[in-house]
Amino acid sequence: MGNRLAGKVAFITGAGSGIGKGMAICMAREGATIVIADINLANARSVAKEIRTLKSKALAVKVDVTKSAQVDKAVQRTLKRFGKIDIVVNDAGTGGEHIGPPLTNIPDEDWEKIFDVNCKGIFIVCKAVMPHMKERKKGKIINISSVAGKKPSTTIPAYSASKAAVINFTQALSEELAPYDIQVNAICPGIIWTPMWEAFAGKLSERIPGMKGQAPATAFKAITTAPMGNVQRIQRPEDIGMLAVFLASDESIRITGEAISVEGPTPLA
Amino acid sequence: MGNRLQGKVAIVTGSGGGIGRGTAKCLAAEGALVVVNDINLANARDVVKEIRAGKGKAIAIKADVTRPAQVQRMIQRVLKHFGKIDIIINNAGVFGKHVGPPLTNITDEDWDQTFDVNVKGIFIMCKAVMPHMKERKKGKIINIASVAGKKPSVLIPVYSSSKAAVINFTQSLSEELAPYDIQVNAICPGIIWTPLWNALATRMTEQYPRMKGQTAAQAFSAVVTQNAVNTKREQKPEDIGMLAVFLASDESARITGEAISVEGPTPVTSP
Repeated sequence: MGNRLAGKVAFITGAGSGIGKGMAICMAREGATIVIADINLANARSVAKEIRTLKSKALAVKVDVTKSAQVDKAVQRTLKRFGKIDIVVNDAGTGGEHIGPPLTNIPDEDWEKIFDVNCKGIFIVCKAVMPHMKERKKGKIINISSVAGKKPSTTIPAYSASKAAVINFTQALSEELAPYDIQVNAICPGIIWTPMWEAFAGKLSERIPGMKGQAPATAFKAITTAPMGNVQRIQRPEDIGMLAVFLASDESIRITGEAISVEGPTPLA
Repeated sequence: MGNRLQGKVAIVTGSGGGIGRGTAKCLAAEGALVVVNDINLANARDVVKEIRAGKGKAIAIKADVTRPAQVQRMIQRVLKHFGKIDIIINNAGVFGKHVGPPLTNITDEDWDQTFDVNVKGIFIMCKAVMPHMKERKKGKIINIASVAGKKPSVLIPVYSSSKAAVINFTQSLSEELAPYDIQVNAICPGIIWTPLWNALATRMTEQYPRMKGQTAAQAFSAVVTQNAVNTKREQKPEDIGMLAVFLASDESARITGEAISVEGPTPVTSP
C-alpha cells in the first residue's frame, strides 16, 4: 500500500460507482480512510467492502447532496467516527434523462435536477465542511467538473453549463479559502465508461444513423474512436483517481483554483 | 527515497539553479536518473553533487538549448550511456535584461534572446528527442511556461508572450504525439525566489524611482505581498518539482495538452 494519503480522512460524494468509486479506491490504496457518501446505500456498502479488503478504513453513508440536513448529518457522523475531515471530493453528478439537440428536447425537470445535484450539491457540501476545515486551517476540496464545462456539447447543454458553473465556483472558493491553507481545485474528466456513459451511449445510438439497436458498449466504442482510427478518446477511472490523489496530497499545496482536464486518448494498436 | 520514477531517465534543461534545480532534485528523489543540463557547467555540477549526496543518480551536461548541434550531441550522449530518454523537462528560460513599462524600455536583443531560449529552445529540444520517443511509443514532455503566459504582465511583456507561445506549442504537440502515447503538458509557475527573480527584482530597483535603494529581496517581497495582507503569493521550487514528478510518472498517462498553474499563495499568520 502506498502512503501518500496515510492518516487522511476523505469524504467522497457519489463514490458508490463510476469515477467516484475509482477515486475512492485510488485514495484507499494510498492509505486514506474513505467515507462513501452516496444516494445508493447498497453501492456505497459494496465499495466500502472493497476498500476494507485493501486494508483501509471505510464508512458507507446514504446521502442526497441536495438535502442540507442529510449532508450535515453525514459530516457530523464522519467527524464523530474519525475525528476529522482532510479531503472532500464532490463527485455526485447526473446527466439528466434527455439529450439534445434540439434544446427543446430537454424538460425543465432535467435542468432542475442537473443543477441541483451538480452545482447546488457542491455548494451544500462545501458550506457543511468549511467551518471544520477553516478551524483546522487545512483542507482539500476537489470538485468533479467535466471537459464539457470548458467546451460544451449540444447533446448535453444543461450538463455542460452546470459543469462550467462548477469550475467558476471552484475558482471563487479557492480565493476565499486561500488564507486558511485550504486548496480547492476541479478535475475535468473526458469520456469514461461508467454507468452515466452507458446510459448516455444508449440514448446517442438511438439517433445516430446506423447505430440504432446497437448495445451501448458497441455504440460507445464507435462514438469514441477518433476519425483517424488511431486513438480512442477514453480514459479509465484510475486516470481520474491518480490526479485526485495528487490534488488531495500535501505535494500540491500551492495548486489551487485550477481545473485540470483528463482527456488524453488511448492509442489504438 | 520514493520510487514513482524508478529507472526513468530524465533530462531537465536549465537545471543549474532555480526551478530547474528544484525539479531535478524532486525527480531524483523518486528514483529517476537525472541529466542536469545547463549553459553553466559549474552550476550543473553543483546540482549533481547535491543529488548524489541525497543518494540519487545524476550527471551534468553542458548544452545551449538554442544550438541544435549541442542539443543533438547531448541527446546522443544520453542515449549512448543510458539507452533511453523517458522524460524531457524544458525549463531553460530567461527574462531579458530590461523591464517595462513602457514597452520601449525593452530592446530588440531582449526580444530575440527571450524568444530564442524560451520558445525556440523548446522547439529544438522536442525535435531532437521526438524520433526516439516515437520509436518507443512512450514519453513525457513537460514544458515550463508561466502564469504570465495566461495573464501577461506589463513588467515583462515579451517574457509573457513567449510563455503564451509555449502553452500553445504544448497543445499542438500533445495532439500530434497522442497516437504514440507521449504526453505533453505545461507547468505555469507563479512567483518563486530564484536567480531569475533575483535579476528581475534588481532591475526593478534600478528602473523604478520608488524602489531605488532597495535590495532585490525587498523588491521581491513587495511584489509577493502586494495584494492581500493575509497571504503571500510565493511558491517554492519543490511545488513545481512535485507537479513535474506527477506529470512525469505513469499516473498521469491520460493527462495531455494541459497547462497547470502553480501559484497558490502561502497564508501568513499575521499581517
